[in-house]
Amino acid sequence: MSASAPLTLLGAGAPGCDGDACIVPDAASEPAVGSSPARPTER
Amino acid sequence: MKIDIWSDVACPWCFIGKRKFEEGARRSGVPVEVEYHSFELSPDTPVDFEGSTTEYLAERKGLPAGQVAAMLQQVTEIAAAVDLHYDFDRVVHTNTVLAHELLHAAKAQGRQLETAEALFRGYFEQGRHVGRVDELVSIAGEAGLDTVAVRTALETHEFLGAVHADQAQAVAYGIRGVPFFVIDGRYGVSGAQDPDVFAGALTQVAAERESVR
Repeated sequence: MSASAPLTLLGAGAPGCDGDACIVPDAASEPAVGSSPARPTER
Repeated sequence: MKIDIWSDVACPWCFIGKRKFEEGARRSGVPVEVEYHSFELSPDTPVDFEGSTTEYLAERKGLPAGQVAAMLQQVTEIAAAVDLHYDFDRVVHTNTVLAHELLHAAKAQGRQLETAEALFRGYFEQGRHVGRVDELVSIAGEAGLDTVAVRTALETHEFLGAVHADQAQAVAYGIRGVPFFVIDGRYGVSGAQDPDVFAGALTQVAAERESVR
C-alpha cells in the first residue's frame, strides 16, 4: 500500500511500544521503560 | 474491510493487541482482511545480543533490573488474560529485520497471518531465536510455507525493500508506536485497545461505507 492522507484516529490511549519504551496501563502516560522514539531506519 | 497492522515481533503489546483485535473483529461481525506491515522498534539491536530481555532493557535504559522485571511481569499477567503465555526468561532478544522479511515472504505465499502468529509465539512463548535464518525457516515450515523459497528470500534479502517501504509508509502516516491498526485506509487505532474499541471502530467504519453506497 502507498498512501499519505492523514488518518482519523479512533479510540483513546492504549498500551503500545514506542522505541524501547513499552507503556504499561498503571503507569498512566509515563513510559515504563525508557522513552526513545521509534526509529524506522534504512539498513 | 481491509485492516493494515504495523507491528514488530519483539513488541509485547503487538501480540496482545492481535488477540484483542481478533476478538473485536469477531464481536463486530464485520469481515476483515488483515495485512501485517513492518515496524522495527529497535533496529540497532544486535542479532546475537548476549543476555536476557531484562538485562538488555536494564543496561540500555539504566534502570534497576528489579524495576524492569516488575514491568515484564505485569505485561506477562496482561498477556495471560488473553490466553498468551509469555516467558521473558526464555525470550531471545535480537534484531527483528529478518523476521520482518519473513512476514513479507509469507505474504507472497499467502500465509502471512499464520506466520505472524508463529513468530509471536516463537518469540514470546517458546524462546526461539527469530534473528537467524535457520530458526526462521523452521518457523516458516511450521506455518506451512515453502521453506526452500523462504530460505532463498531470507539469504538474498529479497524482501528487505518491502520492509523499508512499510517503514516509510508508517512515517507517512505519522505512526510512532505499535501496534497500529489502519482501518479501510482512513482510520487509525493505536495500541492494544480493548476488543470493544476495535469492534466499535469496525462497526462505525462499516456503517459509513454502507451509508455512501
